[in-house]
Amino acid sequence: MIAIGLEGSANKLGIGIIEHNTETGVVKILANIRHTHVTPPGTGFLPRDTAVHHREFIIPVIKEALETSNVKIKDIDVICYTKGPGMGAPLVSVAIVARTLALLWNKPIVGVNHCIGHIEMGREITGANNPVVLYVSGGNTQVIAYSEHRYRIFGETLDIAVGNCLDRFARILNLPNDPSPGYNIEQYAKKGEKFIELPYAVKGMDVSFSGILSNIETIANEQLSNSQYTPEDLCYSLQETVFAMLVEITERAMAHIGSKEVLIVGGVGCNLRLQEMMAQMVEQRDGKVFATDERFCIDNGIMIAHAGLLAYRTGFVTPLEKSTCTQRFRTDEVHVAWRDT
Amino acid sequence: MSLGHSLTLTIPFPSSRLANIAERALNVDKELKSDQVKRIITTDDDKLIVTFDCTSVKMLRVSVNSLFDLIIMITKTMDAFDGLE
Repeated sequence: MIAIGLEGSANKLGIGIIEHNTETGVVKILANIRHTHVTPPGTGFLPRDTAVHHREFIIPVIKEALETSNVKIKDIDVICYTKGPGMGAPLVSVAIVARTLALLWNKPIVGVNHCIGHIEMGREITGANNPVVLYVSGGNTQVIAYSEHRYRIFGETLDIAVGNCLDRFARILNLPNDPSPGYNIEQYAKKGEKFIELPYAVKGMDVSFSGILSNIETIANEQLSNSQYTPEDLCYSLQETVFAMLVEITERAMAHIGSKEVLIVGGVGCNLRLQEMMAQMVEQRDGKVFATDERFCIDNGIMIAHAGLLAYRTGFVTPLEKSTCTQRFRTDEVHVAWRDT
Repeated sequence: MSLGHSLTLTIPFPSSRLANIAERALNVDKELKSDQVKRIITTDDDKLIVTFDCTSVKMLRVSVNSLFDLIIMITKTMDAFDGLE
C-alpha cells in the first residue's frame, strides 16, 4: 500500500511518499521532500507569511516527490495531511490541497496528528519497540509513554516549548535561521567555556522554559557588552540547563513504566548534545537511546504518510466533510488502533 | 435578513466536475466569525457561486481575500494534477 503525506503545520513544508508491504511489514520510503521558510536573522516566522510560503511551494514540492518516487497516481491508496496541532493558516493552506487531490484522484483522505506522526516515524526508523518518547520541537515538549491504545502524556511544558526557547534566544543573539536557529545554537555551544547558572524549572513531571528565557535574555543584555561572557558561553549554559531538565523528567518516566528504551523525536531531537546527555543517563539504567537524523526528526511529509497509512490499514478514514484542521490537537486524543495493548 | 454588506462571486471553472470539487473542498472549513460573516458556497453547472453577507466592509474584505487565496490554491492544484497518470 502507498500513501502520500502532506505536512505544513509550522515553517517546514514537507511531502512524503511511503510504501508498506502489508505481507512482510517492510516499510519503504519512496520520497521525502522538504522546503523550509527561512526568515532573516533576529526574526521568527509568522503564520501569514508561512502560509504564503507553503502556497507558493506546495505544487512544485508535490511534483518533485511524485517524480522522485516514480509512483503512478493509480497506485496511491490514500492521501494523508496534518490535521494539527500547528499554526492555523499554514495548516489550512496544505489541507485544501490535500482535499483537492483526494477529490481529483478519487482517493480517501486521512487527517493525522502531527505528534503521532513523529512518534511512529521514530519507532519505524529506529526499531524501538516500546520506548518512553521525548518529543521536543519548536512547538511541543512532551514526555510520552504508550498504554492501552493511547500515547499518554507523562509530562510536558507548562509554557513555551524547548525549541521555542532556543529559537528565541537565537534571535536575541541575531544568529541566522539557516539551516535552523537550533543548529546554530548547538554549534556555538560547542565553543562555550564558562557555565552560567540559570533557573532550573522542573515541576513534578512538567517543565517550564519561559523564566529561563527571560533570565538569560537579561544576562545577554547586561553581560555581553562588558565581555564577561561570550555568546558561546550563553548558548552552552542554556543548552546544558534545559537538556538536563528534559533528561530528568525522561528518567522519571522510565522508572514509572519500567522501560529501558528512550526515543527522542521532534526537531530538537537532532541536537547531538541532547542525544549524548540522554545516553549518559540511559546507560546507567542499562537501557538504550534511539534517535534519528534531521531527515526524520525535523518536520517532514513522510511521517504524516506513515502514521496516516498505519491508521488507514486499520480501516480509519476521515470523511471529506470532516477533513478540517485544528490548532490544538493533543497527542492523547488519538486512538492508536494499530498497536497492541 | 441581510447583515448590510454583501457580495456575490461567480467563478467559471472548465467543467462542472471541477466546480463541484472546488465547492466540496471549500465547504469543509466554516467561517470562524459566523456571527459577523455569512458565507454560502454553491455551484451552478460549471460555475462556483459564493455569496458573502457581512456586518462590516472590513469583514467582507478579509473574508473574500482569504477565500480567494484558497480558490487560487485549488485551481493551481487542478492545473498541475488533474488527469495525471
